[in-house]
Amino acid sequence: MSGIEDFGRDLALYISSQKYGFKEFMAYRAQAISWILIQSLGAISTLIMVSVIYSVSSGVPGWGYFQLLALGGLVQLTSGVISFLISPRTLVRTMRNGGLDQLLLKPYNPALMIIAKNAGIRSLGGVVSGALLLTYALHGTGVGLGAMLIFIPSYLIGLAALVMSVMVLALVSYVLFKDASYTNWLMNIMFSASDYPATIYGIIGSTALSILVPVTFAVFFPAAAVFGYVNAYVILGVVLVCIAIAVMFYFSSSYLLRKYESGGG
Amino acid sequence: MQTNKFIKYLALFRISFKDLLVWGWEAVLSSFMLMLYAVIAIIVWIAIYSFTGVKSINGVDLTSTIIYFAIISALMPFLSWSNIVDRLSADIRDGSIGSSLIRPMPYYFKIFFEDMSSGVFNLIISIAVITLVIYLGRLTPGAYVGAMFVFYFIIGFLIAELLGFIVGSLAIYLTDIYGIMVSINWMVTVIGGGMIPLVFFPAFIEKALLLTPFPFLAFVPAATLSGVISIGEAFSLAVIGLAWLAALAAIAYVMWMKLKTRINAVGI
Repeated sequence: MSGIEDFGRDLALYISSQKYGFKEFMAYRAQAISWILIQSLGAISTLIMVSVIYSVSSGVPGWGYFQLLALGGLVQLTSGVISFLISPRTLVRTMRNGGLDQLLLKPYNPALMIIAKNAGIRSLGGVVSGALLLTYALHGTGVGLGAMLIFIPSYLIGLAALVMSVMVLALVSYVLFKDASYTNWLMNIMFSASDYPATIYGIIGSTALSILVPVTFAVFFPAAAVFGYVNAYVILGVVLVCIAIAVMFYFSSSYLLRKYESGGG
Repeated sequence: MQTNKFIKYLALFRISFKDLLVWGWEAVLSSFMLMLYAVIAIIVWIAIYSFTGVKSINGVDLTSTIIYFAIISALMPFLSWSNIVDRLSADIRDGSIGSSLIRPMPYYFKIFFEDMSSGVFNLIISIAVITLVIYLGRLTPGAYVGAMFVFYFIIGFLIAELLGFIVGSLAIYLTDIYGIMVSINWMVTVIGGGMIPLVFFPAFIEKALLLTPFPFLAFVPAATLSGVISIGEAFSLAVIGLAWLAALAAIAYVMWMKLKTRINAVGI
């Protein structure tokens, strides 16, 4: 019962934090709208790039126009969600100036407090434009409901693994460098690379995209699953790996937060 | 008298360069990370050419495409962004521009020479990468192509600096210029040829994009050296490049004159 109550309290905190953040973001309306438009540039780039590729060639091995567009849309959506939930640079900056100390004193789950208080509301434009591009592309591919029933849960599990790994990456960046600018940069490069099927990068590239920051688990495998490029065993294996990563990194982040030494204030 | 002035600026450059060398590995890492975007583009186009099985796309073969992106990787750290934006906007926001204006040297020269430290650092990296590309790609650019490349490299650098100055100046009107910085960076990458050689676009779009200043930061110098565009085409773009340079210099001048009148300095 206590666990459910705690979850309810945490959820209420999260929702009220987001409401506050959104109202604060919308206070400067013109700036908010321009931010939403700017965040949509990633989806526009993907649309331009994929369209140019398919206008001058047969495209990327094995993938059709709408399929590659769907992969790109999924990358934009995921990148937006990650920026919305956790930015390593912002988190490490908060830790450096002592902001995390105040959060840890509050009677809520520390990981949730970090996600709630560091939300990048301005990334909503990326989430919306990514979702729109993905919907348009999936409509173009004509995928059925059955494929979507495989896609949605495998994507959400992959996303959970990615969020937890980014959290750990940020905490490790704080311990090692007291700075996470390069972590953000690395993530951006990983997302750029994930605009295309992981298979084109060979074994080394694919491994880097799966291990360094596990973007492929959230993006490539769910997309490959929905288009039938991987079989059921691979999907099951990926889901199990993602659950393992999410659980392992959740406990790792809890451990790192317990061992956290204040950066000052 | 002129020598004294130069020594003054050289001192600024030296201080800034030493400052940069304190975090030398960080600067190298930044350049390396910017190059990775071009590496991704190379891998993607290798996959596309191999899959399509064509010898050339819009007259550009795979080797030229690889060389093009390898040159882009060398140019990106140098031309992708000017630190003048960060310096100018920070000075405007925290008010330190007020005290800078009473110093016995023009403020715009001050930030230009400070920015030159990272410019020279990135130039060393760019020259090393371009030399490697010329050697590995077995390029034999003639004196004319070499001269055109250097010319566009300088034009690109000056356009980047002027764009940086103009965007940085906007900080006096706007609370947050980060969005504009991101947009311009996007334009250089997407419509400037950082991600796709402009010759891959439909001809009318390519022609329209070449009328903007952004291709001079990526496509024009890289395409000139890699041979993606002919010498004649490269030469015909010089007028557009110089026209943009003059236009941006004029805009930057007007912005500066307006900005000066809006600065209110307070403090001790």
